[in-house]
Amino acid sequence: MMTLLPFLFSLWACSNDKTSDSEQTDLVDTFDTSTIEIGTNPRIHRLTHHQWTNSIHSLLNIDASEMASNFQQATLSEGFSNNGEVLAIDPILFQDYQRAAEALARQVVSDLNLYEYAVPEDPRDGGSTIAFSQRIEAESEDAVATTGGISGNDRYNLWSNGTLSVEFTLPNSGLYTIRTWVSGTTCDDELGAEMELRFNGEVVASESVLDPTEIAADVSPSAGTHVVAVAFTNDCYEPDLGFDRNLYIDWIEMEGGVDLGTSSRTVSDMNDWVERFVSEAFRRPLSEEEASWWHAVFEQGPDLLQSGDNIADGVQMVISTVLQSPDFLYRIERTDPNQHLDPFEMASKLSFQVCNTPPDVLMRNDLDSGTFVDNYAEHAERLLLSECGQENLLQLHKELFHWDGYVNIDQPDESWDTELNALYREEIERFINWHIYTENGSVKELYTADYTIANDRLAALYGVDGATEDFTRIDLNPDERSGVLTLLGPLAYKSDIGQSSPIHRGVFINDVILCKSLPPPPDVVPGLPVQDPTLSNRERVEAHTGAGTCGEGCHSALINPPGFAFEQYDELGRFRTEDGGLPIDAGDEYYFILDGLQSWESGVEFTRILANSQEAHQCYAEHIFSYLLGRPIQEDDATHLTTLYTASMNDTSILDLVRMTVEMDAFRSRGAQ
Amino acid sequence: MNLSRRRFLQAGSATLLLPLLESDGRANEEHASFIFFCRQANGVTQGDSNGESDRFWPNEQGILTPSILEQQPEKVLSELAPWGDYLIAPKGLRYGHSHNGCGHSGGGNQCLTAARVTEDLSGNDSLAMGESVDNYIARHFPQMGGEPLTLYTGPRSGYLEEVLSYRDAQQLRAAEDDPWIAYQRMLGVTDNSYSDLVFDRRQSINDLVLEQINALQRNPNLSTSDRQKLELHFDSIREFEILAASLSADEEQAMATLSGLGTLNDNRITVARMHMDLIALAFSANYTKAATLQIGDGNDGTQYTVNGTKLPSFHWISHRIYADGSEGETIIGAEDMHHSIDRLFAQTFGHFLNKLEEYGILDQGISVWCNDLGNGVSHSYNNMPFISVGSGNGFLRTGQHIDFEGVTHNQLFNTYINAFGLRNTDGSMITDFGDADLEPGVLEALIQS
Repeated sequence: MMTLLPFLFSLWACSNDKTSDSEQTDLVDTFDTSTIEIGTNPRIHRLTHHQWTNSIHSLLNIDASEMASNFQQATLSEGFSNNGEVLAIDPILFQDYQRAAEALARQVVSDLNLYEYAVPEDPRDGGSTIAFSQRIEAESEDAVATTGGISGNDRYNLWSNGTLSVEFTLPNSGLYTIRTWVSGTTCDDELGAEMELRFNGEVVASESVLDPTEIAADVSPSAGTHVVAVAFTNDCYEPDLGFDRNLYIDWIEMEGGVDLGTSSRTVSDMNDWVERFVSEAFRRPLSEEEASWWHAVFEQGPDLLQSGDNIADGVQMVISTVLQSPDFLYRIERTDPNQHLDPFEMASKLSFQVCNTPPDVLMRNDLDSGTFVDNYAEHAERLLLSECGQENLLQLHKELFHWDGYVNIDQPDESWDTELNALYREEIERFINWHIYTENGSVKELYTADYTIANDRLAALYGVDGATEDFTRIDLNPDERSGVLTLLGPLAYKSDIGQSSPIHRGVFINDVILCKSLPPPPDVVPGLPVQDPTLSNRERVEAHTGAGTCGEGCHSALINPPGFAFEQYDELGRFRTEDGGLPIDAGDEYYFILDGLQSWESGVEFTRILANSQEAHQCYAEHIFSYLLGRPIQEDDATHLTTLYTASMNDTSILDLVRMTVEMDAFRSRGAQ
Repeated sequence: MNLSRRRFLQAGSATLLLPLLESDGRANEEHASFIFFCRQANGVTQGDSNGESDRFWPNEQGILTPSILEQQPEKVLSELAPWGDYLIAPKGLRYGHSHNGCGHSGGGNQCLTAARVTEDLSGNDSLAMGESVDNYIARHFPQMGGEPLTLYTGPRSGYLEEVLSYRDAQQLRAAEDDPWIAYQRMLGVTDNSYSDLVFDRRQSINDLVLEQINALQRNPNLSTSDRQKLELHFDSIREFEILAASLSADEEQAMATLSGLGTLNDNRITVARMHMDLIALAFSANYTKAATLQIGDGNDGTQYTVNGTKLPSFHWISHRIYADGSEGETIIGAEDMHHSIDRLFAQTFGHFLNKLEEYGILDQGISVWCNDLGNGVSHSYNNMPFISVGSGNGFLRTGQHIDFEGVTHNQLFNTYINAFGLRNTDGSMITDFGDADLEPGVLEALIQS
């Protein structure tokens, strides 16, 4: 990530006057866009998959999170996962969006409840939720098998690998559920009968079955004839041993579709819905020209869908098109340069960047009444303290501390198991949330807190007695622990197998806590030598990377010192005074660009140095700024970042840093471009 | 609003889009852009333990050109003379492991994996103990979906069907035998509901979205980065349109008509050609990096029709007797029949090469015609015919026939893998695809210096 340290250093030197929090806020309020530079925010900012999911839910009342989980995932080379500079739509994601748009549009016109939610302007008469239901007995003549025979009176035995197929002729397109009732026998491998439920040749469910059970899957077919098949795939026959694995099928059924009933509206009656729906999806009003354009899209529906329900066809056409439109998939800023954002764009930015959601009904009401800008701070505060606001700040810290990766921790220690990984993650999530929202804590306190939120198992690793099974706030020994960097999870995650990792920990401090760009490691990095029992871990690392070695340039001065500071913590994050019987040496020194040479004797001393380090505060300010604006920092951001980290140095809470950021013109305005 | 492209095509010629494909810029890519494996069963007529002579390979090692191949009409590879400059005929490659009770199964399983076969599962149940090279290459390009296209034309008898493509050890990839379903899947339709109506709707919506993107692109305040994002979005839709619009209505109709009938004996080559059309289309539209087509089941018993004559089971022909086993009445002229089937496969492979040429991408990838066995009578794993066409955008030195004198074929796959620009983390060439017991390496003689 780019860092602004060099030129911020000069700005800091010039602005060493530590103003109060309220003075900082005043500074922002009187910000003049004609004299102070604003970085270039993307005008085309693709929604993250989380934002897309929330937008779908807001618009259609459909939980599309599973759909989005199958979308192509972003591969970001820089910044956070919401970096609008790089979020784009490539051929794979385009097809993901296309499939999703078609499926969601079909879902709306296939479910009376969803239809009534999305299209209240078209009340229906006589609709029902199920239009088709048919069960075909497996032993009937309507079922065709490639092998096997009827077993008893009422089921079919697939005694070899093969399929039993039936056909259903559906009256209309829509959502359907297919089900089958199956059972199996086993073989000498004691495995069940492997079966697949196939719809038009596509596997839609699979299972290993023994006891009678129902297997089901949802599908979204069009009207017409479709083939449902049950396949048996792991036949086994051991007559000498008395084993014969078979799959027994009782029946296959299909149920679903929808009857929306009748509409009393004409196509032209639906113009109000079109304008309301598209406007809500685009998060802005439509021009007259746009409204006419979308009316025409609606009118294409009956011709292109031909379901016989012209209104539903128009609805499906509009929804399918809207969900593929750039104004839905991107958050777009059309405001001219050097202007405050248009209120609708400002509302979208605030809502998506703080909460990952489109503007809610309260914001939309204020937008409609023209009072949104006046009430901006009130909305920002509401969102920031809401559940989605809390989740968003947790997401920022999750990406900083990489706690999604804790699941991969694997240590050959009797105190470790996979459950501990989940506890590590829960602890840091709860700690960050508590620190920000309960303690209203500052960055300084983030690095110096003498407590955590833990249960009894984690407490034991901290050497604390008396904790409960439930996660609660527990005090930690201030001589051993100091803030987030000495929590168990971050330490365990940055460890090698069976040993701490000063190198990984040191790189993390430089990269994430100090925003210091390290050159990439050489292509061929020789691994650390095998642990020598006569050497401590630190001595082994020093011998491999320290002074006089080829790794000296980066390691001796930058990576190893902050890494060694955490040598008092083993691979599970436990405090220790010895390493393999040898005394721990956590002391070292590090040259901070803004604070000069600093030395310490323990991890706690080091984190306290960080807590008072201008560089650490500036780095944290960069993270907050970059995340909330959804782009990497730029040189033109210097003034705003100075404001933020000056406040941070003065112990302003993290929540107030967020409040300051969303109030800044850098957030609310367009710069020169 | 725009007239949908589909309607436009129906009004005119279905081939109107082809120049677009040729000008899509893929020729500037630095590395191989695709790889295709077309698998024949039962070996080729290259001489055998029963005293037959070679009727397959070029007469001499060294340079191959169209004219050199044309001058050897008695050899199967003369069928590929038009592509002589792009051809590599590497003799002397062998499989590194023996089978476990079934030569066909063992050969098919090793063919693209260079892995040993299972010890616990034997005969026609045996499986490969490693990933296949198509899967390996495809999964290294997740931006293109990360999956190879795995197609098949052959019976569904339940004896020995797909043998070729593996996700991992013992994880055989299911192959699609219906071109119509494969085509719909490429277009993102999964419920067999594809129709002109669906097509028209998609095209209309694509046009509507393109119109909106165009309007956005006219905003003079957009940064370069924003413009690039919109261009990528625009191009993504256009690429999909190319994919969706490149088959003519007649071609679609032919596929739809054959749907469900592709496993029938008499449709074998017709379906193979349809699959090839889809694979060429998929490569032209950047749909995937790798594709396989298995023609015939594990010990292909298809009764091919050559010059109007329906021949006995190919498997029987390869054994030279009217039987799947080792004893039976002799088939008179079996070697000639086998030779004619080899030519049929070469011509079918040529159909694919023609398609690639139509799209202007022949030399940008590597197209391989391979076999489970070296020859049919002995079921040998020596002299495995891996005939390739295309340099992979200049990586391979084409136009040559060279004898590697017993090198295991994993080294050929390492060479292919490196053609895609894939390397070890230290920048060195990948040399270790396949079973760990095989000699690692690449075939330096095939790499352009």
